[in-house]
This record gives sequence, C-alpha cells and structure tokens, in this order.
Amino acid sequence: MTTLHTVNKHSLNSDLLSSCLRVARAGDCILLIEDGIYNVRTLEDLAAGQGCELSGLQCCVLRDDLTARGLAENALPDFISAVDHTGFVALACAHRQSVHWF
Amino acid sequence: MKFTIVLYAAPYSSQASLSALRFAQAALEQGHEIVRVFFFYDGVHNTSAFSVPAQDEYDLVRAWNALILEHEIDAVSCVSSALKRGVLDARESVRYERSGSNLLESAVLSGLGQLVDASLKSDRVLSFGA
Amino acid sequence: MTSNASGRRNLTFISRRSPYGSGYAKACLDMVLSAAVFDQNVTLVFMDEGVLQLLPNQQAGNIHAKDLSAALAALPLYDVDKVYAEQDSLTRRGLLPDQLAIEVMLCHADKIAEIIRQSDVVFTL
Repeated sequence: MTTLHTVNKHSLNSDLLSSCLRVARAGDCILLIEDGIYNVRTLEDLAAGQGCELSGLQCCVLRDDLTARGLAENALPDFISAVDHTGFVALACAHRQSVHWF
Repeated sequence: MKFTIVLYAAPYSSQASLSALRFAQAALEQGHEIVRVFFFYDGVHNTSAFSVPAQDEYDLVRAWNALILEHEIDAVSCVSSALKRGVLDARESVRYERSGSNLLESAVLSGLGQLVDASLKSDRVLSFGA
Repeated sequence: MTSNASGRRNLTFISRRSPYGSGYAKACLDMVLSAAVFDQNVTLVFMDEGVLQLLPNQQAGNIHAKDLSAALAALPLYDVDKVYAEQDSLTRRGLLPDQLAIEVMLCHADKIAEIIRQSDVVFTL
C-alpha cells in the first residue's frame, strides 16, 4: 500500500518537505501544490542532503499552481511531471493513504 | 470512490480553500462521490454568508455554496470552531444573543463526530490547510 | 476500503505544531479525542514542532490558555495508548525522553512510515 503526500510550502520557508521525505517510502507519490511548487528547484538537493532516495518516488507538481507562479512546465526536471486536478484526483485514488503536509 | 474533504483554512488568507474546491470539482466531474465536506478550524469561514469579496475577486464562498447545493453534498462546519470565530446559524445566534446569523444555508453546524463518521464512510480523506 | 466488522478504522494523527502559538495543536488533540470517543483505533505521533507539546511545567494560564500537556495526560482515560514521539524531533530541540510531560513511545521515521502504511486515514496537523 502506498501513500500520496501533498506539500504546500517551499522548503526554504518550512520543514514540511524535509519531514515528508523522512517518512515517504518507495512507491509513494509526492505532489507539490500551492507554494510547494517552488520545491521543483530544491527537491533533488534536499533529498540528497537527507539521504533520501528519490528514484522510488513519483514526484508531481500541480500544473496551474506552477504556471500561476511563473514557472514553466517545460523547465521541470525530468523526474517531476505536471498534473492537473483530474490527475490529482487520480493520484488520490491510486494511493491508499494520503498525508497532507501544510 | 467516496471522498471526504477537510478544510482547515479560511478563504483568501491562503490558497487552501481554492485547492480544496478545485479538487472537489474535479472529483465530482469524474463521477466520484463526496461523502462530506468538513469545515474545521479556520475553514469555517468558508461557510459565512457575510463574505463580500472584491468585484474582481473570485467568490470562494459562493462557489462552495453552489457546489454543495448542485451536488447535494453534506457540508458540515465544526460548531466549536464556528462559534468562536463568529459563524453562527439562527439557533446559535438566538441562544448566545448575537445580532445576526451568517451560516450558509447549505451548511450545518455539528461536532467532530461528523468528521470521524465521514472517515468511516469514505475511501479517501483529503485535507487542505495553511 | 471499508471498516472492519466492528466499524473500527485505524486513524492516525500526526501532530506537528507547537502549542499555543497556533490553535493547531489543540485542534489535533480534539480530533484525537473525538476519534477515541467513537471507539476508533487511534495512533498519535508527535513530530517536528509537535514534540514541544510534551514540555513539562507549562504555565498556560499566564496566556489565558488551557494547559495542553495536562489535556494530553488524559489520553489514557480515552484508551489512547499508541502515542509516539519522533526521536530526531526531540533531539533537535534538546528534549530528553525522560523529561517529558507524558509517557510516549520513542520512534524514528521508519516507524512513522510503517504507521502511515497501516492506517486507514492519516490526519497531519
């Protein structure tokens, strides 16, 4: 059974992502929403710094939250995919638990 | 799937209310069921009919109201959160001798037991906060 | 997913906020107690700033607040006995396990991950 994690704040402003990475496990999904989308720039380094293996995690970002803040979808790192709200619902269905870090 | 949505944040003070609303809309569009929307903590402000956004601002409270009515969603505002934040229905307004009531007609005041109940009846519980 | 035959589910509450500065810590406890009153299988985890709720000698009356740690002491009366605190969160804040206001089980992130996996619903506040 896997978990959908949502994170809504930037790691430079909050320890949410750090805590999320501590308890996320292979097969889980981390969905960046609201101000959490700024983490597309810091996620890889933060995970490496904490010794967290990102390769087993699905990393997503909510498209409208990303573009609203001036970040481009085509500039996303390869391991992060953008989803819309339909995709958000699909992720919630696909994962048994959801943990919302806010 | 059966969803319960919990909203802890007030409209406009953060993006949480909009995020929750858009999730709810998408879930319903895909044919899922929303068992309950539980407004808790500052989230009760989303059920105050007295909200008057600026003319060029998205009316979140009316949007929630419309969604709740259109899909006959069970919308509950936590009574203890609501009372201390000044969101009252007619009965509480009379009981506490306040000069008016503002709870959206589409919502009811009730206790945390309704959140526990919704958690038992739902496949997924989504939370949005600030 | 459905409840088991007795209508009991595994409800987990991760309490991440310090007391009094925001109302989230109390709100989380209120949810825990409600779930317990409804006979659910409740697990409470203190992590990050949430471990600060466990500091003893809280003089909450000085700020017109109710002592949250005293309320936590009532957890056993509600049969809430699965109460954890993340060791790393305590250590980072200079809290020693034997100086906490209530008895908790110390754990690491692995245990929290396991608790999440075994839960039907997780509330993180």
